[in-house]
Amino acid sequence: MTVKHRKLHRYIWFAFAFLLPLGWLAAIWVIPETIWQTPVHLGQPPQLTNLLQSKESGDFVINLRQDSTEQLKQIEIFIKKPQVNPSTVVILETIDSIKGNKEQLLGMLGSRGVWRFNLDSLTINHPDFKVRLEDNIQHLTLRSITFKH
Amino acid sequence: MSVIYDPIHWTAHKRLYDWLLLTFVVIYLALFSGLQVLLFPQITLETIVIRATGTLAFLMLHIILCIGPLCRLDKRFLPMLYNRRHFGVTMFLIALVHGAFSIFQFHALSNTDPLVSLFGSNTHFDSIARFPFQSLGFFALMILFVMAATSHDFWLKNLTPPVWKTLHLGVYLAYALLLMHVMLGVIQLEQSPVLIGLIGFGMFTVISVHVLAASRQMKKDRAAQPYKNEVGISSIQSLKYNVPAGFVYACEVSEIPENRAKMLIIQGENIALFKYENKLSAVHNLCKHQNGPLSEGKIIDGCITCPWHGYQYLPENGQSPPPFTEKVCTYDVLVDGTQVYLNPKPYPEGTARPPALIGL
Repeated sequence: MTVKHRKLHRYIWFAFAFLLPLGWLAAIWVIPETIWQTPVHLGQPPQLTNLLQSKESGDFVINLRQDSTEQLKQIEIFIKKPQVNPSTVVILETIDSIKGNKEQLLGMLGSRGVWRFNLDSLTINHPDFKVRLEDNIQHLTLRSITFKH
Repeated sequence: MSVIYDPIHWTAHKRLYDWLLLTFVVIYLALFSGLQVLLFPQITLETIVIRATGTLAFLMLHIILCIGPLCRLDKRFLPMLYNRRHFGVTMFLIALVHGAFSIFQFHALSNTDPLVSLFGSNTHFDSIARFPFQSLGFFALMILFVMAATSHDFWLKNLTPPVWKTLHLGVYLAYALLLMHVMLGVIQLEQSPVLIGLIGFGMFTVISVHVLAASRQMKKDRAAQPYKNEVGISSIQSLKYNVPAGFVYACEVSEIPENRAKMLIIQGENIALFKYENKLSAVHNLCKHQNGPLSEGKIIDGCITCPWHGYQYLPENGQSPPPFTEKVCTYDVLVDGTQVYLNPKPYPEGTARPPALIGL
């Protein structure tokens, strides 16, 4: 190495001897107490009392429930086996041969557990509908289950 | 040394070194992957590949960074220097697998362009804890790519050693980026004291050997300037009436070991003064290949041999023995009793100069 290069090396490493430990310590200093990755689960609505219909498809059990006053309806999904898809979207599609089908996003499923989604009044009064489970990252329809009145 | 551009100039030593390197890589990957499967039974193949290649490449980079200063501190490490480029290119390929799998796993499974996703999915540039660490890794990989792509002697020759050396200083920036890539990435998520300790140990090792080698070299550079801080060169000359004009005192004959050299910096000239077969010859200290320090090499088979990659020069004329064509500058040397005098005005590269005879 030329004398100039040796000097350059020396300056770089004398600077690094100060800067790198500073970066290392700063990174340790800011380590969060809670892990950023911890999934945040929104509170789920309580299970409605009456089971109207139950369908099973693959690793999923999908229940249609209703409360005792018959004013509220609910879709309840059991995931029997942990899923590999990181995010599964639940879409409800009302079937109407005259006005055309309508889609409504109910929410997302995690990889395991029980998930409940209350239905709005329009859907409640609609006789037939489909529940579709989709992997919206890979654009795949995982399941499509039809409920008929 | 080679008179042609071989893709790889294989030697028995190089083959052995590469086999050892490959064995190390395979054993590391197998052990690491096995441990991951045992410790985390639900781990996916992609995650194993990302972790195994990431840790291996980072470990290899630490070793690569330590080789240079270790060689300056202890010549027994020199065989590692001869083949450091293979080590570096292997490290880059492993880092590339890590980068490719990471981009695939985290950014390629949507309808967004993976690179747009890489730079757009996290824009917390104002936060240390949530800094987009993946972009640091990406830029480090780009630097390593440039270095691996220009590692061949073809580029060394065409870019010239000073430019090539400056370009390859980029590895230090890559190391700094990767250190922060790890510290702001996996450390923020895993929070493992063992990992933090290992990374700290690696960092302090790399810094220590570099600072130590640089300090030692600084002392050597000072010692190579015989009277810089004591008396002026002209007054030294005037002390000796029998020394021709232009010559300056260099050192005592006894200061140079047989078949070895003393480095001198006189009037800005970096000179290697060799003693061999009761003779003294001086050549420019920088090897034509990678500007290696010829003064740290020795005379083998009658040739000055560069300690870095074994390039050779004849001490009397600074020329590589045929069929090689490399040449370095030569200088006039004079011996007066036990004292050695040297004219720091260089002769054109490859000019034959009679060696000074000791004891006449």
